[in-house]
Amino acid sequence: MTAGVVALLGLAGAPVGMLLFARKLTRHGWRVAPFLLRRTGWLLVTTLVVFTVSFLLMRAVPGGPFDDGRKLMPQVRQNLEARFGLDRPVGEQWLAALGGLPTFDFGPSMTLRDFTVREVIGQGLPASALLGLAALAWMLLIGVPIGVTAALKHGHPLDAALSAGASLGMAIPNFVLAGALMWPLVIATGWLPAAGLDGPRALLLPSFCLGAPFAAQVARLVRTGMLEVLGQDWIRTARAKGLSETRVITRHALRGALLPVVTFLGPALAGILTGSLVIEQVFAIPGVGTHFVQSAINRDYTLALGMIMLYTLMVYVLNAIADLLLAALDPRIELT
Amino acid sequence: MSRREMKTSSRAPHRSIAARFLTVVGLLTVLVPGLPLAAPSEVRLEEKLASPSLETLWRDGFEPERIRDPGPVSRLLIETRTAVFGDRQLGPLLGTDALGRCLLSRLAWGARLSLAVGLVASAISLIIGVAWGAVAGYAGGRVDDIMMRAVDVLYALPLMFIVIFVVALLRGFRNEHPELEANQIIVLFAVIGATSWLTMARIVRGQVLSLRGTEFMDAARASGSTDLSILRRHVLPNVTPVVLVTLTLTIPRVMLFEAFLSFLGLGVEAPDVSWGVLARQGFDALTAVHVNAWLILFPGLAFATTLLAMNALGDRLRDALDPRLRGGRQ
Repeated sequence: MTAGVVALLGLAGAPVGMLLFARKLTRHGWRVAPFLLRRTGWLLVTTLVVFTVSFLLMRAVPGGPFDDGRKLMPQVRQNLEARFGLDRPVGEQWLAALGGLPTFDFGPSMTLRDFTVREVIGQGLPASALLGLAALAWMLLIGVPIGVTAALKHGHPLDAALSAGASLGMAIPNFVLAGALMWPLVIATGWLPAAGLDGPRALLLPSFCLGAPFAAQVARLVRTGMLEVLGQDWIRTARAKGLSETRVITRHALRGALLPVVTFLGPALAGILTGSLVIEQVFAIPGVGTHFVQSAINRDYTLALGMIMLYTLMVYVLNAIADLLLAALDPRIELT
Repeated sequence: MSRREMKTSSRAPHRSIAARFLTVVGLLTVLVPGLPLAAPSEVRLEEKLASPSLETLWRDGFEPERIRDPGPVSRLLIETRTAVFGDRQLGPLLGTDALGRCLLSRLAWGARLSLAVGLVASAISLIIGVAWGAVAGYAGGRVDDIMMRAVDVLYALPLMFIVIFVVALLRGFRNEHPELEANQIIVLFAVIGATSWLTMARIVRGQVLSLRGTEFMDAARASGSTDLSILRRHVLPNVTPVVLVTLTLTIPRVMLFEAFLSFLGLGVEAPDVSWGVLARQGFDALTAVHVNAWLILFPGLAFATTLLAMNALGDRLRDALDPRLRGGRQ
């Protein structure tokens, strides 16, 4: 009951908070309101479509959550199916599940005994979110400086070396990178823990492996952007009026060069979420990623549904935030 | 670059190291069954986890029947190979895996599947994307609105997750019914291709829109060409450069996605080999007691060199074809 109230408050409060935040952020004033409204509308449509399609897909593929090889007595199976409402017509099941969607209350998991879908998500999400945020931090903290340095040293061997490193970062799967780094840092020297997520040291390597390919792309984007911007008249003006080189670069050039990075933020966030499925498995991080794949394989209807809805929501909301950030940096961009 | 310059300049993309490297890789990949390699599934337990060495360069023992249902071309190549080399084969120069299978041969056979996944999926996305984008851009108006709105809606979906979800569902079904040998690789091709055409459609549509107002299009229409022939004779040739660039950058993405799926156990299945599968096995072989580094090093290198070359070629093509970088000449 309380959970329901909190969820409703959250549902009502989030858009208002978003609106106030976005208005301050973007200089578009109240014009962000229709943008948020439209996005919320599309979010509802998207959620409903993904929900229905996944729901039907799971039922369309033959077999069910209780067909994992062991033979169940017919009575036991009947009881199980009755418990999860699988004996009711599909339409009725769909409606029941839809009712749980706003609060993510999809009921108990069908294969993880004694866990509800909400509990699984509640336990895994913090670890996954931490991993994703740390990867994002790596992406920006390595990507942007490398890009800027390469652009400033254009034509210099350092530029060639950094650009080659960036291209390499985009060309190997993240788990190969993880394996390559694991040997010197974990197995041979024991500097970093091999698995789990106890303490910040354990977060270093997994988040780096997750973020590195995206850092490589950011570096390339920043390099190209900087090279383009540095040739512009207004940079010459900034220099001519006597600004220090550092100030010209950090305050004037970088601002323009970062635009492509912000555009890339949406795809990058989606990519980090996808990549985390693998990285969580590599480093045995107790996040939600493993459940996403496993629940679909096991046809754990409730958990799988909860998982795909969780990732849909995250991708969608992160994309909207990325668009707002882009509008904040570049007032010419129209919010659609 | 003008077309003439493209043919002669040393900066022309097809003369780059990347392009030559890819040509060699592509040729070798096609010729793999004809090369004197061990059969990729030949198990020699007595040689398991042997490290790379040049000790046994050549040895006997090739068994052509160990290569699982080869196609007609492969069979011909295998026959040629036995005619030339007999049953001699290269030794395990790059080491062996946990079952004593030759890594060199598995990498070579894996290249076939990995590159095929990349090419076929990209080709599917090419066909859908170009058709969709060209029709939308050429028709314009309401048709364009509706078609591009559909693309927008699909863009907003978390397609990667839906793909993984679908493949995992099907895999779960397969695990319980092994007698149904639905070819998972075909599913993989189709699903990846069917979800990666959106960018292509957007780019092609933009390009076609900018062609619509040009004089040669008006001229073609005035001289009585049908829409279909205008699309074929005038629109498609003009979007080819952009399409080529997008394609060279799509193939590496798809190949990485194959590795990703194979790592999760949703991609290529044994006894088939791909680079993704090999990288996964290499990762599994990495233990605290025995660091069998070559098992992850060589698949990693295979990915790195090939994808680097493709990305470099894509960049080169874009530099050569992007009008903004042509020094003001339109």
